[in-house]
Amino acid sequence: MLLLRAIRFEALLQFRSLRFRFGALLCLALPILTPYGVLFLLQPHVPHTFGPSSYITIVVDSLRFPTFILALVIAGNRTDIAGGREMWSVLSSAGISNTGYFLRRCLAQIVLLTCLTAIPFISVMGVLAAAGIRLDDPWRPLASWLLLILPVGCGFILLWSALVQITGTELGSLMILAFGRGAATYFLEKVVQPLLGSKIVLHLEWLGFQNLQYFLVRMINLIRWPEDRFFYGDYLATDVPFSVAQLARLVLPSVAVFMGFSLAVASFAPFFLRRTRRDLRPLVVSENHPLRNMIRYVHQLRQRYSPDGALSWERFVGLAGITCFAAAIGYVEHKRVEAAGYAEQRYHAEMQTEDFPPTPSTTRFVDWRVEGDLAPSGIRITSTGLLKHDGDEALDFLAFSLNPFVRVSVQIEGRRTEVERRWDRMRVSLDPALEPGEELTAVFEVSGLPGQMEFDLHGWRVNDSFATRYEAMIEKAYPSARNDLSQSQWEPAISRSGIDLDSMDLTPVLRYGTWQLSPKPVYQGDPGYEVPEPSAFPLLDLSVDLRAPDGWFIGDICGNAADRNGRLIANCRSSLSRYRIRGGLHRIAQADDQVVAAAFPGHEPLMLRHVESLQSAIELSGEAWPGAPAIERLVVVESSLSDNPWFPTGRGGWRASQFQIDGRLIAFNESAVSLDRPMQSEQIVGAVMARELLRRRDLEPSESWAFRNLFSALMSRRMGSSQVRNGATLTGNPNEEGQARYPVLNLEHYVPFVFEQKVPALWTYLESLVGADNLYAGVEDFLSRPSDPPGTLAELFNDIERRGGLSLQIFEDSYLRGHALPKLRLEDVQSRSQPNGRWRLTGKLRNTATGEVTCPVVAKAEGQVIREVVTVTTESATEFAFDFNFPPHTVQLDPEDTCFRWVTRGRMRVERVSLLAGR
Amino acid sequence: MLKLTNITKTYSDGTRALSPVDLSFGRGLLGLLGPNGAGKTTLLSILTLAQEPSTGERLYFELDDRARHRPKIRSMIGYLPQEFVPLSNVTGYEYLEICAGWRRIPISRRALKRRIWALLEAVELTDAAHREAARYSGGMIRRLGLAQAILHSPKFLVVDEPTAGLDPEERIRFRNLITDLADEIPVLLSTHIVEDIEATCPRLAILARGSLLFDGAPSELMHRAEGYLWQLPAGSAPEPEMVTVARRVSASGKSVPVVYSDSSLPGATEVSPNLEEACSLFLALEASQSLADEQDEQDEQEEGQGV
Repeated sequence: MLLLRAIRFEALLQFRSLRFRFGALLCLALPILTPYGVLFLLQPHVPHTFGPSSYITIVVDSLRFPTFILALVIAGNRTDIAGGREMWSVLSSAGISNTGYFLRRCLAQIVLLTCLTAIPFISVMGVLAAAGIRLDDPWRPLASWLLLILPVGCGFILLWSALVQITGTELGSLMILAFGRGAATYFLEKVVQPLLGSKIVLHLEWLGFQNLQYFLVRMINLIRWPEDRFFYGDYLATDVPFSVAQLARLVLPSVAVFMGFSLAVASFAPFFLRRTRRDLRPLVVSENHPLRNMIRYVHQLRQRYSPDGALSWERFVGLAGITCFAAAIGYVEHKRVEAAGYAEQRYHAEMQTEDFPPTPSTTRFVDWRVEGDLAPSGIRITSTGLLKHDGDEALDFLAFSLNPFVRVSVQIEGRRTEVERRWDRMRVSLDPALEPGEELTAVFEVSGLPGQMEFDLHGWRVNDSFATRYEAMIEKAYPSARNDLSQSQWEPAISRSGIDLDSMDLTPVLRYGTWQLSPKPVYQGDPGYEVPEPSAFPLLDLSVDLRAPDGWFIGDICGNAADRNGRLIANCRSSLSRYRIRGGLHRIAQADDQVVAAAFPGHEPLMLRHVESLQSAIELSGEAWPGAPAIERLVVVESSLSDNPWFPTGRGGWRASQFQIDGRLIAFNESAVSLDRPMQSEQIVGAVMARELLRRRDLEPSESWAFRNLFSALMSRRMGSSQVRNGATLTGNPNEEGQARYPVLNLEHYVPFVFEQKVPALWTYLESLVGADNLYAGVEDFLSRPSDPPGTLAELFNDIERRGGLSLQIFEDSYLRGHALPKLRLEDVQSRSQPNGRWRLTGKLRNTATGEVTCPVVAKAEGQVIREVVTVTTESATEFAFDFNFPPHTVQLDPEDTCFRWVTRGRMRVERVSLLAGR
Repeated sequence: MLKLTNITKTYSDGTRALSPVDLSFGRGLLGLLGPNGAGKTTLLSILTLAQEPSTGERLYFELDDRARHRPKIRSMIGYLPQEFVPLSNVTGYEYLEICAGWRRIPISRRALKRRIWALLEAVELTDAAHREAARYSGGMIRRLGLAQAILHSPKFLVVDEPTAGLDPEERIRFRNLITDLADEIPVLLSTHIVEDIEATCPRLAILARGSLLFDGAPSELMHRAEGYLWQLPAGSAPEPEMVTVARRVSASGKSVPVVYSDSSLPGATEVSPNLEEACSLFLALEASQSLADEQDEQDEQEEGQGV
């Protein structure tokens, strides 16, 4: 009752204050209006549909700083500090303790601020409801408000009230706040970090000014470049089902540190409350004393700041604050120690690989059965496989890859096994050894929650491997020069944000390639080492029976989706190392024999738009490659922009590709799903087709990766995907030229850029050389052969060569295995009238770089077009000549984009010479 | 009846604020007079339960000061502090409403409203009831303070320096209010303005250096001072050993000193003391006695150290 009365009078007092009214207006108007302002600004430029989380995110972003300001205003409106010293006597005679009054008033202020900051959220939810935008997850606004807004308000009310009470003035409090921050940083750097031997940073940027700065910069950028995805991308927040636990894990330590500190300071403030005269003897100083003024001033300070002495329950508040503060610091330190431990494990595993040789490629599982349960709390999987050893020598171990965060037990019939694990590597020793030709059945029990640890190693060459970056970090002598590993984030593979499990998360997967750290490709500039990706993907008969929690959706790369009870049953032939499951708290947008599409709640209509386009592309796929197996049972799953609800608008999602294809499992990035136009369905279907085609024949494992990329590009081109339609030329900028020079079939020099542009360009060129029908026939010949022996790239090009009837040796040597890159230009183009009244056009086609190239040159005169194919070799020039009846006016180089060459970005795509000016 | 028996207060740093003080008072107005630093506010703090005495007993209408009685005792106390400042941003009416909340007065909202208006009328603040209290004049603020002190119908009232800094008109108005209240309940008026006591108090207590020097009627104080005050002739200066109590204006319009002497002085005229001179005499004598005591103490210390 007393508190209710206090709240009522607090509201009365605050609303009389002009600065409170201003602060409250700011706190209400800014977050309520900003979402609509931003959307009004963006709507004409942005090709996306905004989901509810975007509104909520803008409210959170625009509310945090006004909350900070309002908290200072409310806490500063404490008239009982300077003017009403004797008010304590009135309170005291009313039986109210000074501490009780102080803390009760803080509480009333917190309640007032809480109510005010809730209004923008309620408002935006009302507007969303009125606009028909469904907000399925109330935790999104609620948790954002509780964890991102209220701590700012509550913490600063406590802190500011206390500081103003202690110093007596707001200016003094401001100085203490500024000084305190610097002192805390100094203390951390000079005392705590050397003591711990590692870096610890308290991330409190979210509290105030930095947030304003961030918000303002983003708004300015948005106003200047509203159509730029880089800027507006910040406002397209993820609608992935909200994970309170994840947000809490990220934010709670910082919140607890700040709140604990504020509570402790607030509990200290009542020492400085006055209700009686201080128990101090006045300092007697004679009028003749040389330091009398200073002594009197000191006495004044002493009188002003000496504690009152009367204490009561604020001791408990202080204790709670200090406990909270200590617990938060402890938790941060615990996170750091844990992350440092994992980092150390991973580093040692990557640096010492001699003990863990890979499994020989002659040892394979021929079938595999995976069954068990998936849940956010963890998985429980039993997998059984039949292993066959075709090698010539006995094998006494097996090497596996397995997620380092799960537990595993191994049983192999008739053998004693010993399991040794090192980060994501697992070695199973077999006793007795596996004899050549022998088969055995292995059973693995896997439990725990798989996931990955994102180590915070920023500042150490982002593109470098973990081992290189970690080594660079730990070699620093001073802790302050290292990274604060407590900021590393654990990302579970199963959470409300979604399920993304690859085979290594479910079961041990045989490792064939070496784990040995290998030098990074030189084109990346920075020297460094990395663990090579797997390079062999043997197929096996895979049987899956997994159960997801009720209401959760899962689909796998074989095109299977869970039934209504969340049970996924699959039988398919696939590579175990490529097996993958995706899903989450999705809703099914469409389910038929061809496509099962699942989207985040509320995104079903958005997803349907893309699915329709996808189905149209599937219908065209038969024409693109006659005889190709029909595409059916595709599973399309929406994936989130970002796994991090702390920065729900993080740009990671924007940099990621719009879709990811794993067999028949297609993950659509949320930013692509929200597009108001269909995606490049032809490209997606082309990629799926490529995988389907490649399943017709076993391929040389060491080349399977190159096959996948080559066939994806080929099928995209056959599907007429707009992105590769004119792909014969290679555009870029001079800095990327070095990457383009690496051979496309060389795994060690894989560059996504090269495969995205160079490979489609080469297919186009190859087609122009041999003809479309011959190219198709050559590929079909290759795929139709028996699987034994496995197909190779050389065999593929031999088939194309044979069908084309010409040698492709130069093409192969120059472009597939070599690094030629022609750069063509027209030189000395002249047009002269002949004695016979006709016109003769002459010129040269010069290749200033490497590689033989055959390229059409087209000359035009009025009513006459002449086309001539000119072949030019490395660093040479070939002359051409055309005769016209009328004066020629233009010469063009490769107007149809059929010859492979480099074109600098920004230059005119079709190089032409105009002869009009010279005539 | 309120009764303070053998009350002492010694602060933790050794400062003795109150020597044993015995004081009791009932209905009517008791004036507490003393110079700055005499211990008045300490005594009032002890009386209003804001501070604990080092020794002594407090009795409030048959209730002793043990913890379980304190809520009830607090509800009996009306207290107007020396530097009363109301909360800013609230009107006079609202401030009284807030104070009623603090006091948890067990009456209905309607009755409370009636009481507040009655009080505002009594302290002549009806017209200013809806003005911001922090913008009141000094006199109005004191009257508002008085209203908050009696809002909960206390059984006794303690008023600390209520007229300091007020203009004569406000002072008279305030004195009248206090006098009216004293007809119903005991009122302790602490002040160093003798004029306020003279005009209102039938009983006077003088506190100096933590000790109660006098407790009785003002007339008795004046009576005690008779025969000790001498007005020196115009133009003559008091001897250094004389204690100057006051100054008066002579018939010729000149300011002449009035000094203390227990025997007649040559050329001086014996004068009848007024209350202010009587109080000054008591305080001056106490001060000179204290000075002498301190000197004796110092001499003894020096002797002890062989100086």
